[in-house]
Amino acid sequence: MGQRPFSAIVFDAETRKPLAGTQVVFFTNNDVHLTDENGKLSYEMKQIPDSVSFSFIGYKDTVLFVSKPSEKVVVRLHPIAYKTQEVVVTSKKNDENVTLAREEVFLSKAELMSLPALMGEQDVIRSFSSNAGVQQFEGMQGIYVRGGSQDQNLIVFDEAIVYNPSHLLGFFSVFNPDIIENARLYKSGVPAKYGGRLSSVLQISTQKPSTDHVEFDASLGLISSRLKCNIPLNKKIAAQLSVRKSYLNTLVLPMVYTLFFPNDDVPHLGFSDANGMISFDLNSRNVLKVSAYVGNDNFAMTRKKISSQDNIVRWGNTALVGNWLHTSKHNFITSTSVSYSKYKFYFNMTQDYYDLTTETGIRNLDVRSVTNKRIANNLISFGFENLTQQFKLGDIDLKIDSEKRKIENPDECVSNEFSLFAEDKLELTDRLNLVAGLRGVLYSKSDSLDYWNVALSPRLQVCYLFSSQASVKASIAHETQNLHLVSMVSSALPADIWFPASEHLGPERGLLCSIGFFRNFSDNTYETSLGLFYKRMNNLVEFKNSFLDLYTHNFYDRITTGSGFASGFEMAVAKKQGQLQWSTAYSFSRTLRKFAELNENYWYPATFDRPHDATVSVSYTTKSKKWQFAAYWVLISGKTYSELSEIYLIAGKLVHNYGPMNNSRMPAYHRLDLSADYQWFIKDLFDAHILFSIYNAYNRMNPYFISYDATFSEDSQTYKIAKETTGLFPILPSISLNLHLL
Amino acid sequence: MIKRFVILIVSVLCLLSCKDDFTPPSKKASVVVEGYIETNQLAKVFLTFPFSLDDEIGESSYQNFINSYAKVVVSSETEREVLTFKKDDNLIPPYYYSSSLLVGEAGKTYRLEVIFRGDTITAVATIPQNEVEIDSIWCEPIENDSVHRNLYISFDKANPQAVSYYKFYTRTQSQKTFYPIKNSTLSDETYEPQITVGMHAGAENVVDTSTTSYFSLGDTVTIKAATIDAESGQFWLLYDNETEYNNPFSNGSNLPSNINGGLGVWTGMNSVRKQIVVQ
Repeated sequence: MGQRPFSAIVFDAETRKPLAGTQVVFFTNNDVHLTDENGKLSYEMKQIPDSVSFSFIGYKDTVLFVSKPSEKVVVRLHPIAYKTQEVVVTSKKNDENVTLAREEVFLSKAELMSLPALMGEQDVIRSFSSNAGVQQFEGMQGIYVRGGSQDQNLIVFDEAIVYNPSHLLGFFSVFNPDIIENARLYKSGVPAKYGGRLSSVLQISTQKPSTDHVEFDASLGLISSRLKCNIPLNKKIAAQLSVRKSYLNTLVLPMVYTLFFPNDDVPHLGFSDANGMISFDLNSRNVLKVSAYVGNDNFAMTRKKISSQDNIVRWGNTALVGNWLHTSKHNFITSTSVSYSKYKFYFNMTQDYYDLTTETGIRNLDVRSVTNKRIANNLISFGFENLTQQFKLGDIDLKIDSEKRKIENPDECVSNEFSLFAEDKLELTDRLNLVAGLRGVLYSKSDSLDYWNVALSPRLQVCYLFSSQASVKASIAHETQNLHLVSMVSSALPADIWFPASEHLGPERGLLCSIGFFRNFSDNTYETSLGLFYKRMNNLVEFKNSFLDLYTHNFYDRITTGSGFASGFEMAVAKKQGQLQWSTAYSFSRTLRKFAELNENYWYPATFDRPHDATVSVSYTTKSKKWQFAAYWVLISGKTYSELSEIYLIAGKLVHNYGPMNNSRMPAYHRLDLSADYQWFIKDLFDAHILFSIYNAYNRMNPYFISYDATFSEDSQTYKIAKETTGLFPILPSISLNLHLL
Repeated sequence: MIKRFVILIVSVLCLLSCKDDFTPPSKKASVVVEGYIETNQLAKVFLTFPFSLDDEIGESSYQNFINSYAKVVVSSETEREVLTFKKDDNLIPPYYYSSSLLVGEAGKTYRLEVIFRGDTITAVATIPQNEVEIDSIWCEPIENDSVHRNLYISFDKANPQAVSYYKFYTRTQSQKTFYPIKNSTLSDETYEPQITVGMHAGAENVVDTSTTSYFSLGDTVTIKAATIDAESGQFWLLYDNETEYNNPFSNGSNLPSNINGGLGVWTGMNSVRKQIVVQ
């Protein structure tokens, strides 16, 4: 009898994880075997041809007909379809958008991986920005939630605070999709364990390394590549490492600029980052994880049109986190983490006689402990946090016409926030549930003269269920933010200075309210929502005149404070199941500010006040699940700016006179992204995807900033002022090959 | 419930969509004032119209923007004079209004009135009581340059009890008027007590890109050092910040004018002059 070897590997079609213990039955002799811990099975067949069935609890059975020897098969089991619908296994219920008191947007690993991949990868921040009330702007770092500024969002990456979540000026996020377990965005009703920001909390958790099997993922693309591996060191310890690097300037950007913008200078953009984690399953009640992140960005832009302007910007985040998860005998679950994170920012600009360099940064040590316990209908959380932050405001080294100057900013300063918090998630009745929380903060700035403050941040969310598919939710909270961020909004590039509340400038305070109506249809296939929000903010900060004020020596004299509010309404409709899935969201909101020393104390729109925000995303997966096509379209009102209205002559020189502050608006921003994903299997070794994508498919050069440049005519010996509009990202096609070791 | 919710949203939307009337009305000024009342000097006021963004701007076009149709009056508690329109090709712009008798006196407050097309534009400036008492003037060699010199002056704070503002000018034997030095305005807020200032020669006009900051050996340089009133001092500091080197970080805010109803500045100056031959 000849050799009839047969081998198979079985895995979950959604999560791509191997299914250990899958039952494999050879029909002829009813021979039954189980796959090993890696989902693999090798078997010497008794007869060929034969039929082989694969079954696993909770998954559809699959039957294969094996017609030749030495066959290696890859089997993808799909989660069981109850009634007529497939059930996707995620860590949230399908109706959570209706039933949870909290207005949170949850994104599981499976959901993230099912999203269209642009530039070879799914992006968690881009995904969130398709939600109503969440905006991400090309060229501006971070996210903007319900009229809040970028600094008013707390971004927590495995319990480490991230100050700038963007790579390539927001084109990618710092969160590598390969290692994300899930992500949550709290647009309102922030859990009491988090606080200190006026707008939202974005919480990203990374996957715990698997002790079951080796995992290997690789992606090779035209724009960036990445690599991830998971190595079980023994049955209790596993390690995971992932790295990413971009090389946009190697091929794609020069090619696009040569084709479409031959007269423009090609900006240089690049980033690299790495994540690592080791987990220790000490016993059934204790898990220890240590994770690290390091990432760096480089951006350089030469603008010959603007008086030979050269810009170099570098920024980077570093984080190290230790986390201990402990379950007590009485089922108190305590998560204690110690994290160190650092953000550094370098900026250099040369223009005409100017050569300016500044380095700013912030680093922190954060200790947070949260205990959860369910008692009857209550889910109680309590704990403490101690956050120490060290700020480097950075002197400005300036060379004007070879003359060196230094604009000194305050020395490095340190602040400390000690917080105690408690929260109760309570199901009052079948229809009514609420979350009530309180966070008390003792803030001090250790290097200043006895500056301290105490703040109480209460929060309450109520959800009333009309039915299992309809609810109304309301939320109110008061927050105190002992952290300020001023931006060099006038310059072309995002250059930000973080500094703490002090005797010079107290904390920002805000009252946040929202109400929303949520309704699902057709057994949660369709999700709809309508909402309103209002946010009142005090003690906001802006530069008075200019980031570079040569004559105002005290940093705090260059800053001015004021108040503002944001309000608006949001609506969203989404179809979240089936081969064809789509979602659309629209919000209309205003974000206005009033500063005594700006705009003559009249209200003015914030730089990021962009009233209309609409997104449409559509994805279609073929029946065979081999192809997935997706499209994403976004339309956002243009960025505000102060229009130059006239020029006048004083002492032989020209002086600009601007119209009211931020009273003009750039043309609307809109963009279409397309992607196609083809999946196949390379023998039983790899789950392979080839990803085609086009960012900005109709190549609209959306305005990034507007500047006024005086051009001199040698013939007439006269100047003429020209308005220059500069865009950032043109059409960017990309192809990537992603491989997942089975 | 849904209906009520939609009504609520529509109501809020209507409120939010109201006309954008929260910002101040656009201030397109009709008159730009650059006026000086200086100790022992006749009052001098340049009146111009602002340029639009479409205009070509240069010496040849300046005269198109001169306002020669206004009535300009300068008055103090004891004097009042209507200024007359004059021409001096050495100045930029070459047309200005000047007093014939009225000269500035230290410590006095002067009111400027510009009446144009039925509108009255006003400003007030006081000439500081204290003048700059220059202790010394000296030249320093420049590395790898044997023909030019840096010029410095030093002086004590004009008023030890308060913050004073200063403005500096130079004129060489070949120049027919004073030109502000580079970064010509100074606040003595952070100086204690002695102040040293480099007299880096400034550009002569908006299209002048050739002027060096240094003086040549043998140049006879007259330095004009003046204390100026605080309000115009703030204007001139920010003016230097914006214009001196085309500050690329200017953030779209306007200079704080002390002219009611117009743009520009009315400056009270208490000036002294000293001469040096560059060696």
